[in-house]
Amino acid sequence: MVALSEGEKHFIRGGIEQDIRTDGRRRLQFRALSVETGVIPQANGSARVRLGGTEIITSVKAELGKPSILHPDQGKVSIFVDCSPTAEPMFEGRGSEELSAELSVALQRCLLGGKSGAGAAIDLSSLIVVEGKVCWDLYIDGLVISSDGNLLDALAAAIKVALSDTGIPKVNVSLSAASDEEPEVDVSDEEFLQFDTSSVPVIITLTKVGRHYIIDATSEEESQMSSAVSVSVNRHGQICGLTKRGGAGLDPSVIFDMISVAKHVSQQFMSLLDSEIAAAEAEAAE
Amino acid sequence: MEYVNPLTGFRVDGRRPNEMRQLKGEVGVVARADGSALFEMGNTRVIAAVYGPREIQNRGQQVNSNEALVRCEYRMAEFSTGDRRRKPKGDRRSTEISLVIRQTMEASILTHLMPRSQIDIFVQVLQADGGTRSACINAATLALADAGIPMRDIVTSCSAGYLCSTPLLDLNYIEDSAGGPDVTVGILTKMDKVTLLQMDAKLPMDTFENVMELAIEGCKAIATYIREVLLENTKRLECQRG
Amino acid sequence: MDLDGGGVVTPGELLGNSLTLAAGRGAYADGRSVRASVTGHRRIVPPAPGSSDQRSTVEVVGHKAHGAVPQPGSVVIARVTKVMARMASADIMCVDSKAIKEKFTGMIRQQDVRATEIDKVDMYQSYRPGDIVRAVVLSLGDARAYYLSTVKNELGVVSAQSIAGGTLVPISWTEMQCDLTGQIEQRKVAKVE
Repeated sequence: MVALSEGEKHFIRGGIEQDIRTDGRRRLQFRALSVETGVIPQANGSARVRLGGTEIITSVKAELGKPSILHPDQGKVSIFVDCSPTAEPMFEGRGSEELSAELSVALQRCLLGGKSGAGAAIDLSSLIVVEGKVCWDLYIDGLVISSDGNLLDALAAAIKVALSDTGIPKVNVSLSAASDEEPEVDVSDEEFLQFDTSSVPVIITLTKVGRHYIIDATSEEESQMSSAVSVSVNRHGQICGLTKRGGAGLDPSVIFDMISVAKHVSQQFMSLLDSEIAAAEAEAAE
Repeated sequence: MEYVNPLTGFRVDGRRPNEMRQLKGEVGVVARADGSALFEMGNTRVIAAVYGPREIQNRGQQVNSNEALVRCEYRMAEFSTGDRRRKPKGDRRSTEISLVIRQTMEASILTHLMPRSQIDIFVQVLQADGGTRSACINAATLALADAGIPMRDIVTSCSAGYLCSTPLLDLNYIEDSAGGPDVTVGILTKMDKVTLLQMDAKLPMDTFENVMELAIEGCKAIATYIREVLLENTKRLECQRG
Repeated sequence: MDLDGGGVVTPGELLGNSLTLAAGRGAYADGRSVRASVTGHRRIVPPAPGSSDQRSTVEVVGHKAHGAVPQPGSVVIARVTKVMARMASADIMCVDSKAIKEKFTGMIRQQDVRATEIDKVDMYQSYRPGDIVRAVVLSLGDARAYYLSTVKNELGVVSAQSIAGGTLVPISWTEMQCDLTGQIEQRKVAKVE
């Protein structure tokens, strides 16, 4: 928990007002970002992302499963988030369940599209192996190791990096004559298909403190927020999901303004993330 | 299955019987914790974070008001094991390991110096490949030392087993699941005292002595490594301060 | 005797024999041996002249000490949270001039407010919620809180706000005046050097 004195609160709010925050950043400036891929060898893809004092590990595991009856032409993706008590003593036992659920749902909303699977960031039809019979189930697990605010943005970034690191084994299907029999599936352990992550969005959270809003808030700054809007934006500048948190009401015009700022910031963040991914991959290849 | 190659004497992962896996320790990995550490033994990788000493949060847990209350929680990440399944939190195995870590660390912390306060140790397993218990204790020691909490000694832990009539040091997951005996030892290294000893399966007395000796050797090697990490870290901090 | 780390020792390392050395901060005696309990530099402090103990003291000073914990005798700065008829509770925020990360709860009992006429102390005329108080830790207290005492001239309220929201300025041992309205309020005032 963040305990702040009146003086500290005043200092944080005053800093945001004057466009120089307590750590020296401007209002629309990210903390130092560092990215590492392939941190969990037994997963199909994994990443460690550090954003200032916030640290996330995500893993992507692919398992063969059966597509649902409603969508025989689509694979399934599920996202789970867990907050480790190492990040905050409050998370011990069942203490993190509420926050974990909130983050999981927010990420699902931003990455998986609607119930029909339309508008999903991950092309679900690319996960199908045999229509109606076999598909890939992707399990995306996020673990918060260290928390210093802005968990949602960091989680989304970590998922994007992990997906770009993901290789799905190539599957050879021997088609049997009878269509109602289970097809035989041969999973290759040498050939992997890279995942198309070009349409995976990033999430930008704008935290409103006083009259201004900031990106990449630390937990001290988050404790001073009146409300926050998380916008997920893809590479083409399209909005893929939106979540507003915090009690205070917002004027609709302010929301539109925040969205356009988020859109602008997201393109910078996306290119920063891309260069970090490239650097991490180059390092992993060495 | 042959766990030790009868011709070369090498184990399934290419180690010699008395060879430990690659160790890696790093302190200060969790920015906001009072002390934290990452510890790797081969593919087993754990993070430990220490919070405290701080005011006791739950009065009911206080046993002795003249000593600090030490608490520990052990958690496995969803992706830490080969097959991914959602496990309920606080299952029996986790509770038991939490207890083992707590008791082992309590034996080393000078709790009487911090009366009426609590110290929380959280260990998170990122990857499990055998010997998580030992890796957690080693990580917790490093994290406590990083937090500047006064300790009697460095506690380290290591396991050893007995397969194919050969004592083996630091079992990995394949060797651990072979069903042979698995002896986990924790020692206060400089004082030469055993604080943790667990074994499953049966073993003749004289063999047990050899296996335990081997595990103790392993503990000592880990202690030397942990001291190196701590000295290295102190030097690094000094350089930063100039 | 120790690893070659420029005088840096790690917990458990032997520092000397307790017959010739006394354990200071960051060290402890285990039977006859004196060992380090934290990681840091070893330092030997010669015995104070005239003290009965002729042994030198060995200290280990680390870069990072654990957060301060109130001990009997430490001077603390606390904020009063609740005032009752027989006692006032306060959150300890500083221990021996070191700010602590998370608060500890303390309690000032009626008999520990001042040295004289301790039976006539009115808690409501001594402290108000929100007052910043300097106190000394008497004992570890009961299961809930440390017992604090302000029985000394330099202990008591050091900073407070008036009902009107102004700053209170001390005008005597028992009175403080609001700088906005001039109204006088009762407090157990500390003498601040």
